[in-house]
Amino acid sequence: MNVYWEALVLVTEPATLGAILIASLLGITLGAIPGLTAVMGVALLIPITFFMDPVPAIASIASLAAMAIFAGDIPGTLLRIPGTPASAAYVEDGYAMTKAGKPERALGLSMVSACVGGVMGVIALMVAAPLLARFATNFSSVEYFWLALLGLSCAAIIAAGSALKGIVSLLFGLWVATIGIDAVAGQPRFTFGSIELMGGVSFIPAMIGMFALPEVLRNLTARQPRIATPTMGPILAGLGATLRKRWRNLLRGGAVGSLVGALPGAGADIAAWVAYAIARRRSATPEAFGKGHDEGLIEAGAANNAALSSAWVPTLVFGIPGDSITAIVIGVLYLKGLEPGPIIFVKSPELVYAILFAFLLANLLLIPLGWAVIRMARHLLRIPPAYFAPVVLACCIVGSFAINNTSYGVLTMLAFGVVGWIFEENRIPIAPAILGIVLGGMLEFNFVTSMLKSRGDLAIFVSRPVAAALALIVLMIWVLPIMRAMRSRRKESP
Amino acid sequence: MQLNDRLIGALAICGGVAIIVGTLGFRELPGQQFGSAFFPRIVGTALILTGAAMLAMRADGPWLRLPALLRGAAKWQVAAALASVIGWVVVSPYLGFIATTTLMIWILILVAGGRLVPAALTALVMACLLYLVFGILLRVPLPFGAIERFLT
Repeated sequence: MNVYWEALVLVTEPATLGAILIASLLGITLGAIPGLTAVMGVALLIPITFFMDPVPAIASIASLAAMAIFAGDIPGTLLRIPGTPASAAYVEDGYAMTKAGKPERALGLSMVSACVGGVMGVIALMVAAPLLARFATNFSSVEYFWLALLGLSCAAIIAAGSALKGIVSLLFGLWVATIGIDAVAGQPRFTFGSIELMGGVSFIPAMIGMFALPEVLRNLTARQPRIATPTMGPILAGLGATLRKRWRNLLRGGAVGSLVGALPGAGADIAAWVAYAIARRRSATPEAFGKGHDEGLIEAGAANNAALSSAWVPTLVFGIPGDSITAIVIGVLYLKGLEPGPIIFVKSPELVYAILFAFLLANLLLIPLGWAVIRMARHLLRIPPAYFAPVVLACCIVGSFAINNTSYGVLTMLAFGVVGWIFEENRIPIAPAILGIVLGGMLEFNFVTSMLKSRGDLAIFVSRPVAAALALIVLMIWVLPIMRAMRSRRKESP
Repeated sequence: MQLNDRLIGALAICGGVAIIVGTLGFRELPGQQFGSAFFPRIVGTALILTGAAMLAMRADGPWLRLPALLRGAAKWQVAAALASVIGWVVVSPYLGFIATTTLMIWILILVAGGRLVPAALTALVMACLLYLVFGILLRVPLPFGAIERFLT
């Protein structure tokens, strides 16, 4: 009980509450502007969190992401432009409601579904994370090696559209992680004589560049037609009756989102599509889906925010990211000296519970702030990309500069931004590269030290039952796509 | 720039070879079985194998295709955005943060099709806001110029 009290004290500190409120406002604004995503918002927030204590830093990321994912429904519903990929599953239903003259109903349902789903996801996180952590406290460096590899494999193979492109991205990240002075032998590697590169590539400018610069370039060149936003009636009117009628969709969406989100590499986008498909299958009127029906909107809307919360389960317990946002969070946790993994639950449980409480608070804030942003949506949607894209670029520059107080960070951001843009153009996922940069050092260290301990005997990696089980899972993740590809090739050949 | 999957595979192989060649100069520590080159060589080899697998896959479409972003007026906007970052690095130590950032945002909004006066106002307000957050509240030593000297 003492730990919960300490966590509650931490989360109710003015600095934490202020960080949650400011990040929520920022997230809800960014998410409501078409073209700006939750991942980009989180990437831009990181330089500011660099100057914060761990709890407000992580709480602000959680708040920004929760708000931005909900706010992504606003351009989706009003303009048929999903603000974030997670809103795409039910954009047709929301837009059809707008065309029918009921945009406030669609947005109101999205807002309440997001809040309920988010709270369910946080409850899943609060229950599952400590239980899993207790099981994982006996892990040694070998298990940590497999966990790191499992996280990287999930991001590269499961989450990516093409497994091979995911692996290329991951290997690029792992190579970047080797740049600088080698931790084992003290040898400078791939520094090309640069003193700045001796310290390695800074994770934050690289991440800002890869996630934000491609979006800046896209928005800068976008030609936005003149937008006519509809007028809206009272947002909360009639919501209670609809939600009482659709409570099953609401709870099922939250449950499905919590389950899918907790799978490494899945994330809110997949959760929303899965929940939408389930809602359609279980509906008495599946033919109404996509034409302004509320079941899919409620279920998928609850699922995406639930997934956002539960994606933190593998992140906090094992250091395996649930999605792109938690891939960034892992980097921030390392920066703050909070190495994700079961030990964090033993060493500083009050910090973990404070983060969980902050998550709960952010999801509850969705109702008042969501209501406010829906009222303001007409003005936000009118901001042309020509005006906000250069401002975002300036944020990228100052954020990258702030990490080392030199222009080296800015140039790193630019170089990685160009790489990120080339990756996006060729549908090479970015998250595996970022994870490779973050986890590469740890992976190499655990691998090399284990090899040194065993004098080169690879059997050490399967010498303990849990390590062997993890090795088997990693092997399956790597082998199954190869077998599937070979089978489909055999089918194609006459 | 959109590349054919086989070309990406070929580039991955080149990258893998370059990494392995890059490790050849790493000095070996006496008695150390697994030195600095060990892990990068694994990464390089994995890149070569992945590239080879991509080469073996079927890939449709041309080897190289320019995306919409690099055609017409858009290519100048992209070039302006990238050049503005380098320009900021070069100019900001002389002009200071506020002037350089205002100028950068203003020019980019105009290049992207914005109007002269609203663009100037947006640029000035946002540059001052960023200076307030990073320069004053977070105490980041942003490039100092005449305006900053006047403000302090």
